[in-house]
Amino acid sequence: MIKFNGESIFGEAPARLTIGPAGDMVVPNSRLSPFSPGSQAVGPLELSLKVVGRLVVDTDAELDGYLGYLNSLLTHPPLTATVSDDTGREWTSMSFVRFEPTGPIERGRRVSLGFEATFVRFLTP
Amino acid sequence: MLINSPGAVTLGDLTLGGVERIVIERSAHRVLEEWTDGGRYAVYADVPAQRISVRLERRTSNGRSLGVSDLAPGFMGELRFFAGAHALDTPRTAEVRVLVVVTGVRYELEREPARQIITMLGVSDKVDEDPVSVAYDGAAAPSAASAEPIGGAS
Repeated sequence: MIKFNGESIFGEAPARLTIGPAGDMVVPNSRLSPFSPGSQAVGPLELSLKVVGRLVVDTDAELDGYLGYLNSLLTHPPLTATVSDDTGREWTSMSFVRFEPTGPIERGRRVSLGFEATFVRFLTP
Repeated sequence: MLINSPGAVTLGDLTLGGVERIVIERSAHRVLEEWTDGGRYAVYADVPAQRISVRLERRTSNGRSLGVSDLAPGFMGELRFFAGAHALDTPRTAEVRVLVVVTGVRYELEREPARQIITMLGVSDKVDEDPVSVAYDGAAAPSAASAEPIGGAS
């Protein structure tokens, strides 16, 4: 279960966590000058975490409640806290920046919605 | 659902005689499966969309022809028939209704007598209502023999 700030913000949702790329941010020189070949490293990449899962509830009203709760966490400036997973791994200073449904609401035995959530550790100047 | 020798089979306004069997099958049209990072097995599965396929087999009798001019792919109507107590896992007679759209009308000439095969898909005219309804009662169902086969060129 993925936790943010100690809370299971996605409830019992089955979810998988992917750690984003590490290394340097490389920018093509053509971004700066159209006919300039090559690229340059401009600094370290921000750590990002992507959580892909499915909110599973019993009713549409319950799902609406969940979506409202998640939207309340998507503040500006973003809410920053620790993300943790079932294995005990923790990523500190992660900002919850995006929650995106990945398809329509599905209504079978239960009501569910696939999602993708993004957390970023912003570089401090 | 496999119904042998259903009684009083109608499809929309059409009376279908000589029906040997009706098969109603359900399958998942869309399956949801979810895993976690904790292990190799799915922890959630659901079927938010299912397909109801209906296959009806009729036979000719006494050299008569089979053919219903109105019955073509796209035809929509209510398939209605009775199943005797021997045909279902119930001691009672059942009336089965399915709103269907015809997807095919074909013939099997290898068998004697020849068979007409009508394939259909169950559809729901309400948002989440099962297209198949089964009503049980104690009333005797009309026998299959009471329904006259529809004649005509085919």
